[in-house]
Amino acid sequence: MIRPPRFKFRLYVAGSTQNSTRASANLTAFCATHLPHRHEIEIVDVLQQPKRAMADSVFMTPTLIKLAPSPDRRLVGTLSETQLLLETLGLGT
Amino acid sequence: MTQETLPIPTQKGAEISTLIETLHRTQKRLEELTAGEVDSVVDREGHAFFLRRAQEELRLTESSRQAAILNALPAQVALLDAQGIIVSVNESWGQSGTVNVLQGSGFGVGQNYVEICDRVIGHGTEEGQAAAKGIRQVLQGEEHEFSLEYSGHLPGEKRWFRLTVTPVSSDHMAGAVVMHADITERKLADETLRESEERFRGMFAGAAAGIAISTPKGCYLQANAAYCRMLGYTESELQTMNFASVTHPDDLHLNLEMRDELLAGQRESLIMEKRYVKKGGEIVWVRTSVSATHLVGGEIATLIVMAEDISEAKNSRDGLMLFRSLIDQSPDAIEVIDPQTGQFLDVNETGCKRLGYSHAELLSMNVASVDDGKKPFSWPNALDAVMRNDFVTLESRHRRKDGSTFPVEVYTRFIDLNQGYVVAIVRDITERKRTEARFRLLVDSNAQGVFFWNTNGQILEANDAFLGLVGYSRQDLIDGLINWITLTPPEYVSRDQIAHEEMKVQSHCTPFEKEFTRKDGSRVPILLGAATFGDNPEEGVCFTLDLSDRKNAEREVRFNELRYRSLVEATSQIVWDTPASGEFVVEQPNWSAFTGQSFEELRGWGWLNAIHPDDREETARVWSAAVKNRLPYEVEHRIRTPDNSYRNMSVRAVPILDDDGSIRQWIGVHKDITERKQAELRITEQAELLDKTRDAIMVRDLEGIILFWNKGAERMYGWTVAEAVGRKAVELLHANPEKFHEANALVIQRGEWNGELQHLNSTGEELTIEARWTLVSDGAGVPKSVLAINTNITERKQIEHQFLRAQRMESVGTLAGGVAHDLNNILAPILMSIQILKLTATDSETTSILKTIETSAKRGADIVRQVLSFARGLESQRIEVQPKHLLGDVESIIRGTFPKNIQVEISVPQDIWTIEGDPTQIHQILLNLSVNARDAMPHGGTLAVSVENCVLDENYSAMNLQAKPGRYVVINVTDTGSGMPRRVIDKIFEPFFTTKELSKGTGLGLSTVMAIVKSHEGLINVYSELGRGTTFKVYLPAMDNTSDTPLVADVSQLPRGNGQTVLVIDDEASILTITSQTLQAFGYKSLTAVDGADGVAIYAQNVNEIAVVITDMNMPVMNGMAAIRALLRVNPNVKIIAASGLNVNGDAEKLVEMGVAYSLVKPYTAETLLTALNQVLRSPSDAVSTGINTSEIS
Repeated sequence: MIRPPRFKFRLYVAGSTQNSTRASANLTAFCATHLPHRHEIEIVDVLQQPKRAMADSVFMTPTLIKLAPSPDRRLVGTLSETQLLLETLGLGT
Repeated sequence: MTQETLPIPTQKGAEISTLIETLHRTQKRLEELTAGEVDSVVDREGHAFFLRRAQEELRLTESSRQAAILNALPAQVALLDAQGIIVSVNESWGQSGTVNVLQGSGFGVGQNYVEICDRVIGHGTEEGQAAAKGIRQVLQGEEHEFSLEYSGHLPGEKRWFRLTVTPVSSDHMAGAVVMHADITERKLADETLRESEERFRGMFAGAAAGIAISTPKGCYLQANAAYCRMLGYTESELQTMNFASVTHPDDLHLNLEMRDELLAGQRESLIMEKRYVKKGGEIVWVRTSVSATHLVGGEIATLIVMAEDISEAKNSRDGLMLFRSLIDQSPDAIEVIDPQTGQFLDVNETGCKRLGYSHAELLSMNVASVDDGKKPFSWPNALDAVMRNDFVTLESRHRRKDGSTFPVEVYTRFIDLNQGYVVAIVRDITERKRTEARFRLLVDSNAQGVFFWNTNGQILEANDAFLGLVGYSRQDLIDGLINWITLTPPEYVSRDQIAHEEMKVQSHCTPFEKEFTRKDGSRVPILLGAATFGDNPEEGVCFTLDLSDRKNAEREVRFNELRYRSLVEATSQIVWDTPASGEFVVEQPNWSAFTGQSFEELRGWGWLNAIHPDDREETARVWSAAVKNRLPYEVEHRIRTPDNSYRNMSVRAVPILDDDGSIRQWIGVHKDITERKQAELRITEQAELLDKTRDAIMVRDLEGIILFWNKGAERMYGWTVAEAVGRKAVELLHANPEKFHEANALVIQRGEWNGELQHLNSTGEELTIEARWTLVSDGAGVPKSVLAINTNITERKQIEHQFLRAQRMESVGTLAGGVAHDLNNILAPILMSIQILKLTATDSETTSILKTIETSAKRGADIVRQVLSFARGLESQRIEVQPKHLLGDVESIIRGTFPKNIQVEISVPQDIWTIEGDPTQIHQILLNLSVNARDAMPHGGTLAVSVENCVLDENYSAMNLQAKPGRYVVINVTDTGSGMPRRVIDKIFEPFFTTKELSKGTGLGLSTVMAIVKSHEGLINVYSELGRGTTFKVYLPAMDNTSDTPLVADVSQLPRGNGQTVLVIDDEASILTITSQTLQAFGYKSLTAVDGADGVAIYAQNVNEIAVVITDMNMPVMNGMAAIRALLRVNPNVKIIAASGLNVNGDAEKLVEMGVAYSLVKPYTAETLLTALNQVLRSPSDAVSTGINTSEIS
């Protein structure tokens, strides 16, 4: 049996501004619903770690990067649109 | 974030303005593009620019959040920058400025807090300086944290504070957060706690009771002095121990259980009495009370144990309980009674049980209510008696709850404690009373004399029975007139002495017989038993039994015995008796008279000698067993009478038992049963005869069911007794039931019937039976059954048939003879006339006609001659005939007259014997046979005629009853013609039988041959195979003048065997015997079998030993073919020689196919047999077929 792929996310936020917090919340909820037990979320605060944003070439916050499974995908915004998120991640029907 | 605006030059200013505008527009556009979803934009160095809205948000939320947090704290919080200047403060800080010395005055924002602290004077200088120092350390990154507790008391109120300083950022100096928290409450709480702890400690230490504190699990945390003393351990020792280790093992389980309940919250506290094991191992009883202290959350923090030493109390309580149980279990009822009222104050268990009341019931009753009321009972009187005396013992009867009463002995005392009590001990004396009664009964009964004596010989007490026995009165007893010495006759004194000695040792003596002298001087026989009283060996009791009656009885018995004995002697049977041992010890006149044995001879076991030697052992055995096992004795044996003949006797003896079951004597009777035995023997013999007879004897009931079936019937019909008895005779036997029923009706009517019946045997063959039936009736004349005696007359019938046929043949012959004679006379003139006419005939036609007539007439004459010679019966001479000449003559005739397509071979050996016989007739034989041979080969063939010597031995004659053993010359005539089937062969010698067409044969040829051979006392045998040919062998007796040649052919030439085992199967016993003997004489071992089945069985059992099987082909039950097949199944490589009479013809080929190695023709000589055996044994395992023994043909 092939294990369903494990999703790795990295969410770039800037402090606790509204959009960033919203994005974070939405992502967590989404993963809990659609990818239970097979997701990893890393939240990077650009205010705390600006160099990381540079490394990942992130220009805006909030930005979600899907690191795994390949291919990489990026999504900017609050992630309120579940459908869009599903499609982007390749999970959509 | 505050933005500083600086004055800038215009050029730069314009650029700046433009950039700002660009920035603004960029921001706006980004926001539009990202639909407000993006907070910040990150440049390539990772710096984030918050977009407008985010900035606003941040500004608002951040600060408000921070402020909200800070203001919520009760503690006073100030934020210092890196220099220590207060940057911001929370609300509390502002409010408590007046209280907190360290705060100084005002809000303090902008002031250097460190300096404020430093400058605190008066009360709190120390703290202030310490605080300043600490703050500086944190600001400079030397310390990660600083805290300080200090007091700031108001008048009438104590207050404590705690100062905490923490850096803003962990990695670089960005200021510090200063917090003052009011910790007054906590401090106060701490103090209260400390106080209560102190109090507790005091109480704890000083308590008289032992107190210990333990963990919930029971590990000691603390123990006060009393506790330690109680256990003998120091506190520090206890602190290493668990309460379980000081608890007595027997109490531990319960203790733990209750403790767990306590821990689980199921109980508030644990109180129990238990034992502690002190340090030295000593046990101390304590009462422990354990309670739990709880934490705030409800969890149990510790257990507090209070222990009290209750050793003393326990002892006394135990003691009490022990005492109580003793009282309760006493076998006597113990009552405590109120002296005033007689009411029961207490009754022990025994008392309650015995009276049948419960404890409570009794306590409501008084003494009077358990008295049986036979005598008037008054408590005051009773009490009075008790009071006056120390104690009172009396007998009474008490009544149970159920109304029954029982005798009691009551011991009552008055006891003076604080109050007065009456204590009564009541004993149930029912048993004692019973024993007493029995004893009294015993003594007073008149059966035995009982008296008490002392060692001085005085009779102290006696019952009436004794007095009566010895004839004294009671007054005599009282007067002391009766004493032992006057009672005992002098001759018994020594016996008395022995009894006395016994009693000294074991206090009683073995009962013995003696006599007492009565008052009147007469003697009385007694059985006496005495015993001394245990406590007083000087006195004792004596039991006497009057034996007069018994003695009388004994006399009676003896008298009877004598009477009986004389009676016995008067009878004619032998009556005898022995004591229990079984030997004769007294004279046995009966026996002596019968056997002639004297008393000396018969006594002991000598009587066995009068018994027939063959019966002695059995008799001795049975007798010994009877004596030993006390069983009646029965045997039959023969006894020798004085004239040395034997009579058969039937013996019975019974044991006569004594009173005690032992045998007193044996009484036996011998009855002479000789006649009966002889009768029995006759019957047995007769019965055997029944089975010996060849006739079938059967009995059937009126229904026709077979009741009896003798051995003869078994043999005749083949059904065994088991198969026949119970079956209906008509079903079993009868081919023709009608005939049976007819006959049955007749026998019932007339009482008997004789006739012939057709029966079927078990194999379905028809038998002709001559039956003689008799109706059997019982004593009253009622017909019960039919007795049938059947004789198998099948053979006889066959013989009769044959005889009749022979007779017929003979009469035919005679008739023929007569006719022939007449014909001869008729023919003679015809022939003569023809001769004359032949002379005158000229023309060919007439000549040929004449020739024809002549031939016919000659033929007629021929026939007549043959018939005549046949009818006349052959007068013949007996001379020496040389075969050589004979054959020479025949040869020329044959060669001359036989067709050319027939090859003729004649052989006559040189040493051929001469035949004793009539040459003409022998010539005739040869001719007839040769003619037949010729006629059998219409298309040509070979005719072989040979002669040889032959000795027919016993073997041969056994097989062929016509042959007498002796020397013969055999003439063999063989053709290669069509052969003859068996049916034909059977008939060929019959007169007028012919297979030839009409006018071709007389049918008399072979009959003539047979007649001639018979008259020569020879034999003739025929072998024929369809399609192969026929051989006739004619044996004629050889002349006896060459008698020095041994009768038996040269034995040394005959091939011998080598110890091989040969199995011979033949249904004729004589053949088996002879063949066996021959085989054994010539070096073989033989096994025989009378039928095929038997033979196969024997073969199967001895497969490895048997080298060859010789089997007759024509046997009943299992014929040769079947036997051979069966043998082949057992061992496909078995070597078989088939022996047969004529009937092998036609089967020879089949036999070969089956694997028969050799075919012997019966009758066979020893020579033939041995040669065949030799050949077969020499050949390899595969069958080698030679078909018909070819040596016989050539």
